[in-house]
Amino acid sequence: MTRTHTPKLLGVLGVVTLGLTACGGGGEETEASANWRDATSAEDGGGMEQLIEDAQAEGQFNAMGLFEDWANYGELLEAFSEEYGIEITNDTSTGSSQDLINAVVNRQGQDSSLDYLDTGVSHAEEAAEDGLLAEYAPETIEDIGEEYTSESGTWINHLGGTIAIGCDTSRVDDCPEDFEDLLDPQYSGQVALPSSPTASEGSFMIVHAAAEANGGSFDDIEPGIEFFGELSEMGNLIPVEADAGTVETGETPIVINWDYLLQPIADDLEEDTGAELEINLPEDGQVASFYAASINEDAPHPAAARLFYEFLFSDEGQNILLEGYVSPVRLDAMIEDGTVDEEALAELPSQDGVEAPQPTLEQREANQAIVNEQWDGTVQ
Amino acid sequence: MSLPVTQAGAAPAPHTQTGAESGGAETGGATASPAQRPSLFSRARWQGVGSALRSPATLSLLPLGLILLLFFIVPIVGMAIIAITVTTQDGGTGVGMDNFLALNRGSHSAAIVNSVQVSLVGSAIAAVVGTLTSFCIAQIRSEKLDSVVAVFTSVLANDGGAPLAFSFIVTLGNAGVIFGMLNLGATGFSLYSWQGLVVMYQYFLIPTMIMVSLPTFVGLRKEWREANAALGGSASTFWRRVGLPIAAPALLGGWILCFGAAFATHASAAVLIGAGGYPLIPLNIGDLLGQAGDSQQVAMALGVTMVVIAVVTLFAFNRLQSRSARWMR
Repeated sequence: MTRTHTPKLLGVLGVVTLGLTACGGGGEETEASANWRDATSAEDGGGMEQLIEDAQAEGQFNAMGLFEDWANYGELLEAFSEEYGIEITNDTSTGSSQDLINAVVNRQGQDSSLDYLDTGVSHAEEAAEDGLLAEYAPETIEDIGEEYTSESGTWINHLGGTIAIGCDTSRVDDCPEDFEDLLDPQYSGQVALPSSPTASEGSFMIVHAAAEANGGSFDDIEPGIEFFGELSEMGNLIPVEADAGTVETGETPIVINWDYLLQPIADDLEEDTGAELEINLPEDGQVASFYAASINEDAPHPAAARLFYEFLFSDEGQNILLEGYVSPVRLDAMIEDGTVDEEALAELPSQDGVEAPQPTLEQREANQAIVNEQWDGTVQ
Repeated sequence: MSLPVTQAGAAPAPHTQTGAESGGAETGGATASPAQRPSLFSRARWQGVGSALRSPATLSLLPLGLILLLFFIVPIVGMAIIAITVTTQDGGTGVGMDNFLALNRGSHSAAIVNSVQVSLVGSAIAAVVGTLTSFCIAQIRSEKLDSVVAVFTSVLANDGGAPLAFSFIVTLGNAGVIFGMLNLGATGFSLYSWQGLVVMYQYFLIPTMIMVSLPTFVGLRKEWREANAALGGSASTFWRRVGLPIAAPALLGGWILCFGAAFATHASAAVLIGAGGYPLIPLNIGDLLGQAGDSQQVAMALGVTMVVIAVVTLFAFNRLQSRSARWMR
């Protein structure tokens, strides 16, 4: 008897465990949370005090892909958590915009869904069109220019930067200052991008900048692709995905990337090897780009999500971002009001990060199609 | 597979049992002889199935079956369904081949050719080098060495990902230590090309090949050589008529394993050449999954294409293997 029971039991146990781990649904929502789900501003939902109270009652906040060393998100989340006593779940196993959107789509109605999203603008706009994002304006919305907010009121540009050229002065005698300089044969096998422009926002914007530098524009991106084709053909561009590691080993002494991503690499390099990474903003091709912050329409913690949004766009939140070398969207207003953290501002790679032009949604869409079509054929 | 029978030849009970009943200790394998097989709709026939399903052997396979179902079959079917789903003019969804047609645009067709080329060349080199290495190791006839090799190769065979690419960049990249020492720049070698990929893949492909082929070479019995010698055969006769025919299925199996490993490599390839213009299927799928719009569906179509190529390759190798196995009869 027992001889036949054991395997049976084991089998049943296995099935039951699998079954249990496979599901996890959302509970009933409190009235307060439901109220915030429809609120389009703090005032609309009963005021800031009420928002804090209800967010604390929820006590949880879910996010994904907010890497600690990226725009100082680590400190931002910690400050938010400490200030309001809200527990934060931040899944950093992945960070791509599409993964965040997929999580929102796949976890509809679940407690584990995301409250807040930080994505590229194209992804945010598409999510808004699919009705995935909540309409909400933080109290500081007056400081934020129209060009940085979506027409539907669902996403807001919260931080951005400018494309820059980083160069390890210990390995390169004469650092390139703009795109044209990169064509100098002395940089043979030394120039690299962070990844393919068919996949990453950063590299995609680099191609925009290169287009500007080579007689193109946001409406004509092909010269940018051709520029990198030429750079690759002459052997200056190598197809390695450049990061702090490849810079340190000297494999990619010249990297093009966002200024705020180059700055931490520069810090690391100085700390580890004492070498200096010079960061130049190319005069001939300037592009700024902002990421988009948004709230999930289906957020499991609607009040906490909105409170985080308020915190993100508050002076405190924007100053914390500034310490991460990004240009927060309210930078100009804060400089005017004198609320800006002067020390952090002095450290900023580009004092006028918000000044450079950024492509419109339509331009992005058209250019992405062209880049996807031509990049691999041109850059060999 | 024989079922452990506790109540030998228990007669089928007259009432129908459902699989959900878990109180009874009835685990008899109902045996209906083929001659008097009940019809498809009779209770007796299905009762046999029911009790077979409840047998401990079947139950113990359930977890594995479930894992296979959830992590292999469901994803593959899901991938195929998404791949043939298209958005119609009026915003609805229909069935069509649009996502597959989209593979003609951009670099996807180049990616397919590149992936097959790199995997074929890489696995062929690994198969030859690995076979020769295994053969030499087997000649030493040291059991200790064999077991050490087995441990090492199984570790190296599963080595890959970003750290592998990075270690090659540090040694053979443009600023690499070995690259500089041997002045490889003068030879025109570049790690950032398909040849570089092939070189990098050898790091885990050769161990894979050794892992698969070593037991075969070790298993060639001394008596066979002696018999060959006694019948007047030379060493080359032995390898031609006995050794290689016996080893062939395992060697072909190793080769296809290498092909598959190279074909599916993503992370190390992405780090090495991800920013440049040498498309590979896994890189393109990764790109597509990260893009907004209909790209997800195109990614699935590319995934299905990848599966088809893998299956066709497997089938071709299978034919080769069965041809070579004929010698064994």
